[in-house]
Amino acid sequence: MEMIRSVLLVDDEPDILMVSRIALQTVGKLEVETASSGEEALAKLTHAQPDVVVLDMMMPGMDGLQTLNQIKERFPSLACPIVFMTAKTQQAEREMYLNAGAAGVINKPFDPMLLPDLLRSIVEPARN
Amino acid sequence: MGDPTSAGARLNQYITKLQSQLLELKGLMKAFVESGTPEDANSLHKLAHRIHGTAGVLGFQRESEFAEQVEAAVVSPGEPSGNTRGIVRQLLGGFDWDVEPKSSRETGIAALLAADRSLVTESPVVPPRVLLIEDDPDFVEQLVQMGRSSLVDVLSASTVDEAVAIASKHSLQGVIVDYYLGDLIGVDIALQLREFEQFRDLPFAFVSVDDSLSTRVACSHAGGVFFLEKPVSDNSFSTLLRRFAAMAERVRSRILLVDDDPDLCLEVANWLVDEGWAVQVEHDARRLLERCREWRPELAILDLQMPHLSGLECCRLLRTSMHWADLPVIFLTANKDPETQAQCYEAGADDFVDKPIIRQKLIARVRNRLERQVLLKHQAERDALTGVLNRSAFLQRCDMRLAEASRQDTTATLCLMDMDDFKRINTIHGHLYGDDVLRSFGRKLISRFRLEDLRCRWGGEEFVLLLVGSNIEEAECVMERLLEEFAKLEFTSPAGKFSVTCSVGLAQFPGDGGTLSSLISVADRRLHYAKDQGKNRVVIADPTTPSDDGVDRPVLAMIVEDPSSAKALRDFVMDTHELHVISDIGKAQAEVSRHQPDVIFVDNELLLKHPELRPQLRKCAPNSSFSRLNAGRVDVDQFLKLLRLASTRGEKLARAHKTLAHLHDLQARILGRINEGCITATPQGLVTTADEKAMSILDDRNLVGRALEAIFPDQQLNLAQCTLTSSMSEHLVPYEGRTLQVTVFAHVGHNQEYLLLINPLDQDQV
Repeated sequence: MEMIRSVLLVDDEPDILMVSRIALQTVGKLEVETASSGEEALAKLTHAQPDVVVLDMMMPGMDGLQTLNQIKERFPSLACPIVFMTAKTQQAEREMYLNAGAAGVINKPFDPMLLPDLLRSIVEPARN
Repeated sequence: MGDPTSAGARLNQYITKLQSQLLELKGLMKAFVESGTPEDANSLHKLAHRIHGTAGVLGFQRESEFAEQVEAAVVSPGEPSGNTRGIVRQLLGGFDWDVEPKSSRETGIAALLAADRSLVTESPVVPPRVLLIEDDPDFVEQLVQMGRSSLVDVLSASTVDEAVAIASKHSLQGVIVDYYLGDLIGVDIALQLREFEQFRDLPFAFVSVDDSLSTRVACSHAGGVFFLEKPVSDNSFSTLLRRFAAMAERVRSRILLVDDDPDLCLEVANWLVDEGWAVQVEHDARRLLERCREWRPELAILDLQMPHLSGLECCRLLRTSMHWADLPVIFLTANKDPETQAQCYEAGADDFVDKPIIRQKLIARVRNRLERQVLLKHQAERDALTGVLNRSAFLQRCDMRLAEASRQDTTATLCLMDMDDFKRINTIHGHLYGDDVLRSFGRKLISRFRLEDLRCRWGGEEFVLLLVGSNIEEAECVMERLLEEFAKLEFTSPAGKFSVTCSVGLAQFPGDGGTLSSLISVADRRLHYAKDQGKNRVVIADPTTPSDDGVDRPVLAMIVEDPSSAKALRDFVMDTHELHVISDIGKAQAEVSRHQPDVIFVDNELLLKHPELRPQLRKCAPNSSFSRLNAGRVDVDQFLKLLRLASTRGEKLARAHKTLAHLHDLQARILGRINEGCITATPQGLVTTADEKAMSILDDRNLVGRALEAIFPDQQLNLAQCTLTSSMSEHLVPYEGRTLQVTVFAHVGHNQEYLLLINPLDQDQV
């Protein structure tokens, strides 16, 4: 199983971004890049190659799905898994995200301390 | 280990924010209950969604769950039903708005925030030192005082020996030299000092009451980065210290020290700073990669045993990262057993030092590693023969310097140097002695000029120098002194004693060009002019339009039977050469004697018919070179090739050929653009569109003008008044009684490419 080392975290909420970043860094010992919009995320991906991208679903401008589609279109060689964060928990929606190509869905709110484990449990088996 | 107060403050900040968000939520709920409009529903849904997520993550369960209910009630904000308003009204009444938000994750979040070290800043450990070369004790005292208020130690020396002794003992940030030292001139002292290893990498500044141009030039020649006027003001002195500090950061090796024990860190950091290294300390190993990214260390010292992340883990982390895989790592360890040592090496350590740490031992190991690292970098960046930067390293740094100069709104001068008659020296004295010349020229370049100036071996016997912050006249003086010094050097080979001269072309940033390549091409033109003018000189301006007065153009004669077949050739030549087409064989000798062409082209068929022609022409023009062609079938490439072959006969031909080849290239590229549909030729002139594809490749104004004329001979597109600049500018160009608006956009990339947007204006717009 391949370990993840770096994460690109995309959320328009600065507080979530901050707490999640610190949690991923200090608890998860991951390298973290952050972006506060889909557009910024795409820009960062031109020079960063994270092991996983975490996208908030509801963002102003491009939402999570649009961002995911853009990432796949513009960076076809970027093989990293993409995980959604969303407050919507309906099964149908969840399945739609997975069908759209997401590696997994993290429900909001989540416990930041558990975020690194949550992320690893989604991504690391998926990588295998 | 972080700062609990600021972590607490951050959490409190969020609570305040949450409170105001809840207040806003309450207002939106009320508005929605009253109006029920989709807009109100929409904003309510957005805010509720936000609070639900964020408050939840930060552990404000009650608020998050409440927001979730609101969010769910207005889940399809497009069409709120009457029932939705009822639910929201109920929720509004059922929530206790006065209870203060409390986080169930407070301890955890606070611990997280405390671990985030972006809040903590490190302060420098040991004050920097500068050396003052001065014989006047009052002035020394004055600068010592001024230095004290800027937290800088000013040491002083009055002789070269004293200065060297001090520099051997202490690490210095820079040297200030008085221009007048009793009977001595400070510049000479500085030049002497720079011969010593200890001073080679130090920036020099001069101080003097006399600030005439000649004094300043002498100072900058001796490597002065700064000129202080006496009496020295606080302001100028602190500017100088800042300059020294900035330069020191650039030169000093950077070390990252990671250890959780603050006392030990301070002690070790002090030792390292004393050696002249720049040090940053990190107590929290989890921030290692982040600190590496920010600080870009050249060596890391890691404690083996640390909380959160052990030194071994840190090292593995570095070794698996892309950028830090080859960063030298030294461990500090209390364990001396072979097993630990093996583990260290296995994790990728380069070396380790036992605790308790012995200062000399640590310093020696760090120095070893750094020196190897510097050596490797040096080898990769330097030209092995001359010791100056190689081309690729120069290109990299030059871009940075020019960007810096542009930000600070200062100038820079690019000097392109070429040894005169170097091929002859190689032929007469042998390549070994030719290398000798290059080596000593490289040494001269290194020991002259300022530390921040860039010196490079451009290739063969060509060198480039970038003088930052100087204007072209100053640079001219400095270069003339260099040429003078260089011409005086005497070399000895088995073939005898000899000396070498050198020609230089200068170009000023940003006046002559905004990119390195445009500067190089301007400097190159001037260098050729310097050669034409008799070598061993510096040229700072273009010759006055040599192509217009016709004197400098090479003369070509073309002897063909059918004048119509010469038409194509006439088109090939443009106006870089003077061309005489001779179709009357009877007059050929007279014409050739009159024009004394540099090159005579004769049609092959004609030569077959008149075998006597060649020796006859030779007699008329003994210095002409002779070339045969098939006039009816020759194309541009063949013609340029013939010209190139003839170019070996002199600088003038070579230069004209180069220009012509460039013109043809330009013409082909512009034509290519037209064929791609990016540039449209209209009766009003050329119109390019501003889309990315339409970047017309335009370089030198005259060249562009001539190329355009060649493509559109019937149109007199006048670009003469249009000055190409590296920044966006607009020009109004008169054209056939109308006015063209020419917008020159910023250069694109390094290929001297400009985007021109040409719009014909209506008379009433003008």
